[in-house]
Amino acid sequence: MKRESIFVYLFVLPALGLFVIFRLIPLVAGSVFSFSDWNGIVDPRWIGLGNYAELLTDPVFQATMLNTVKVLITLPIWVGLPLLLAIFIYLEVPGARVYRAAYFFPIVLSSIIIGTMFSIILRFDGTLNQFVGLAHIPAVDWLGDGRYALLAVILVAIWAHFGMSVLIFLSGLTTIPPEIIEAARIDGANLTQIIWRIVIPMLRPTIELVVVMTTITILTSMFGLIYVMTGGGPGTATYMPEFLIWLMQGQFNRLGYASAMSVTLFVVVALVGIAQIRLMRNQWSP
Amino acid sequence: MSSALKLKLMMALVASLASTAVFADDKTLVVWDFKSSEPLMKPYFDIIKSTFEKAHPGVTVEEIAQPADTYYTVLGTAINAQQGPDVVLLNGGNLAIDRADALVPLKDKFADTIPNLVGLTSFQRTDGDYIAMPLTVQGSIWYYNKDVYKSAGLDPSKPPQTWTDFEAACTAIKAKTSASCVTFGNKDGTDFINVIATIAHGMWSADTRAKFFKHDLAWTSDEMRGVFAKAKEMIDNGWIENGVNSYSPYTDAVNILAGGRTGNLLGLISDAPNSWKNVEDMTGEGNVGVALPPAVDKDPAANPKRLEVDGGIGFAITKWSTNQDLAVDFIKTAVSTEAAAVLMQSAGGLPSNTKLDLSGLNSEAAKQVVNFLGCCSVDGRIKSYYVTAERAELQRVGQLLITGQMSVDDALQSIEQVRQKEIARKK
Amino acid sequence: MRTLLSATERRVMWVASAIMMLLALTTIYPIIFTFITSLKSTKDFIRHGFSIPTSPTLEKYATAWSTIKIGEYFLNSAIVTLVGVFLVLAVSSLAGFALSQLHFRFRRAIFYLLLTGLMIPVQVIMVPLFRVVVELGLLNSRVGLGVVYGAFFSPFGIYLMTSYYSTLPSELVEAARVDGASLWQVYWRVMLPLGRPALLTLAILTTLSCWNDVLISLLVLQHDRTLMVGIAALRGEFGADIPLIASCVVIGATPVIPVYLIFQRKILGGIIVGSVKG
Repeated sequence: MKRESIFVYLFVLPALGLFVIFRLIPLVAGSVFSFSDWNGIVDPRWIGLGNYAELLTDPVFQATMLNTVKVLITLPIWVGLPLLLAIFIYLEVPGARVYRAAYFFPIVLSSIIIGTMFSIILRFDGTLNQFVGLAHIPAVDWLGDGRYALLAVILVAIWAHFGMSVLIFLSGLTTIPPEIIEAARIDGANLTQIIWRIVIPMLRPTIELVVVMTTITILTSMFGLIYVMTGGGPGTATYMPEFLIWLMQGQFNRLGYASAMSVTLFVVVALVGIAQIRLMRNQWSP
Repeated sequence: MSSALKLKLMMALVASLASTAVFADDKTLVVWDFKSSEPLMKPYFDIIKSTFEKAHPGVTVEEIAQPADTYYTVLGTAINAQQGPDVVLLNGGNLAIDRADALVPLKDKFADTIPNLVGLTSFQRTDGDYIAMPLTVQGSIWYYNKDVYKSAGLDPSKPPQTWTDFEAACTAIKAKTSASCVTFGNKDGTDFINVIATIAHGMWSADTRAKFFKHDLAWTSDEMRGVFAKAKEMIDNGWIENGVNSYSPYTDAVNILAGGRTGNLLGLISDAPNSWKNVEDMTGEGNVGVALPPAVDKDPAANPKRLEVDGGIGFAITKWSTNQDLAVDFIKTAVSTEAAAVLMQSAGGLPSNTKLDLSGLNSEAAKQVVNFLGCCSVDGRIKSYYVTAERAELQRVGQLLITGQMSVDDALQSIEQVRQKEIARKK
Repeated sequence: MRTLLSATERRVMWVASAIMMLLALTTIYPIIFTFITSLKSTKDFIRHGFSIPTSPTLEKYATAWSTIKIGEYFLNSAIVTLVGVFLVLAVSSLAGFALSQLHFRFRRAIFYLLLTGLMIPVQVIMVPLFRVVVELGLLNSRVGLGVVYGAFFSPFGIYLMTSYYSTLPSELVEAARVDGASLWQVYWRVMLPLGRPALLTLAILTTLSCWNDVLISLLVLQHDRTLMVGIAALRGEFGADIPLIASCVVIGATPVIPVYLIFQRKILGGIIVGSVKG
């Protein structure tokens, strides 16, 4: 292949420059800060692995990690629901076009808008309880009761993001040649068999992609919802890592500690991210 | 339009946008607060600004209202960056004192003003110097809805004086009306920490109180357990309004009291949306009663000083400010009698300036508050001495206690653990 | 597909459709409810929270405009979004062209390096990012916030543009260069025009990201507020005035809705470009 002149590097320079300045340097700096005890006002005090040791015994951090695990456990719904919906839309269920449009709508709304709307709807005297009351079920303090708060946040988060997954599945479905389905039909396969034995296996790469993207969403896109709907409460019921980091650095001024948490979060996200990049590479690479 | 022209226009647009980010060259005094967007408080901030600007031509005051619930987070970023505001508003107590490293000590600069001010203790550093000048005097007090009391068969002119009275009142309200006895109108635990503080003050001896101020009292101590036991009674007996909803610091609670859905509300005495002025506006003058926090296991007559007060909000000067002299003048304007008069009239604030005559406050509730201020107040509020990390934990466990998901023992244990951790960290 | 179904299966489809309809209703209901709520006065809401307003009023919108100065927030959001989108489009198309059509040393390495940006979300570098912003003098600058957006939303853009450009036949570029065009001219005259569909998709997605962001905005801007930060702040100051909050939510959502309506199909096309073998 003919090699280009140096000039070519100018084309990737802006991208590289932004990456180095706004991602790489902060990442390295953050790792360094994580070994210090620092309130941002006086000079940092180097304490080696002290912050990490504290993390291991910090009940709030543990609660946050536990919440993360709880949310990740619901991953099958985050993936399975859109998958089913996409399949039915693909099979041209009556009203498919309308549904596709409706499901995509929440994607364009910001988490602040979504969180604000639902914090009105989920009030103790709000719409959902009124609705539920029609069936003579007692009202629930969705956002204020520790037993339900995380569930409420998860449901709203699914509401906010499922449309994107539906769309990705739909685009994956277009790669299935219709002849295969017709052939299966002619062989006498019923709907369930077609979905289960043909469609889903052929969608495997797309499913993997959605799993990875959803995991990253869970780890990094719930801040707005938590911030507006519950403020992390009640207790630590709805604390997620990014929210805790935000609190630590702002309200508590414990920048070193916040950095240690960030590094931990980074390791988790990086592992998932590597998986994502691998998948994207399978789809396409230069 | 040719693409070259488009590019040039684009760049011109970007350049002009960049210039909008540069601030004006005349002197600007940047003031941060979390109150000036409240409609009741706005006139006070306006008069400070206009008076100051008139006395200092060429200087503009840039008053920036930050969102109240992220104020300290945003302030943290400013401190971290060592730039931003010249003057900052702060709550009294540890919220201010934790940030003392970033603030200018003010004792010398305000030597002439200090003798006329009260509420200074809540802005006092460990070495005795002051890091902010108080604007208001603040404390927690109970407001009650007289109609609800009447419906429950209680005498609205004789509110509870002891915990036993309080119990009886709540039982009556619960039995005879559809209202709840008390409401904590918010979800982030702020009301709960105030309630704990007022029960503690009504219960503790002067020694215990002093011990707490010195951070020598363990959360698992008997004295603290006693306080929480009372709070637990409130919860277990179903005195508290269900499903406390909002995150806005005060306003849901006031709505609930005003609508007669609850009997009592723990409010503040000065300028906040849950202080007498707004409560009276919403509930109707003549329908709001004011009561001192009840004495717990003590004789109310022998222990009249049950209203704890200290500096509510105050202005501080940041260390990096290049306009420190202007900042001093600004703050002096803020605590002047002229400004304090506006604070009183528009927001129902109780000013820190002792030279101001409080007789201008003549609504029913206001008169009672002023009366209590005179007869029954004591300096220093327990709630101002909560260490930040403990306060956060207390808010969290408060939410869980109210919904019945945590036992008192576990709650106290977890706060005590935080306290021990902080002590170890400070070493 | 429908003609291939048996009678039972068609019934199943109708049941599925009914359930999907309910789900679709839940995606539409909140914004409609919020809109209706915004037309009520505070007293009206306290008394009848969930019915059609008896005397609809626009007073809350007036308050939002004058007291909350939502117009300013709107402007701030517009500025930062404009800068952010411009940067992302520029950076992504420049890099995408080079990475897909040109051959140079470290090409693959640079591509994957840039993609690793996806693994470093804001939350993970909040503290040091703030210091970088301060050191660069971008604090409180709306343009600065746009630059930060450019940095954060480009990895995905680079992936999108690189994969899209790789679908263009290399003969196009070769032909232009044989004709004596410089790299820049090829970019300006060939790649940009041809890249329009993907650039449009990227512009839409980036606009949404910038407009809806709150975390980065909270870090960089301390004086001016963007719209989303402003709405988030409402619950502190005006928390009890639900209709007022509702009106601000509607104002915040309105610009996004036409984007959604008109370009729904375009976005669908964009996702196909990005996630399926081109």
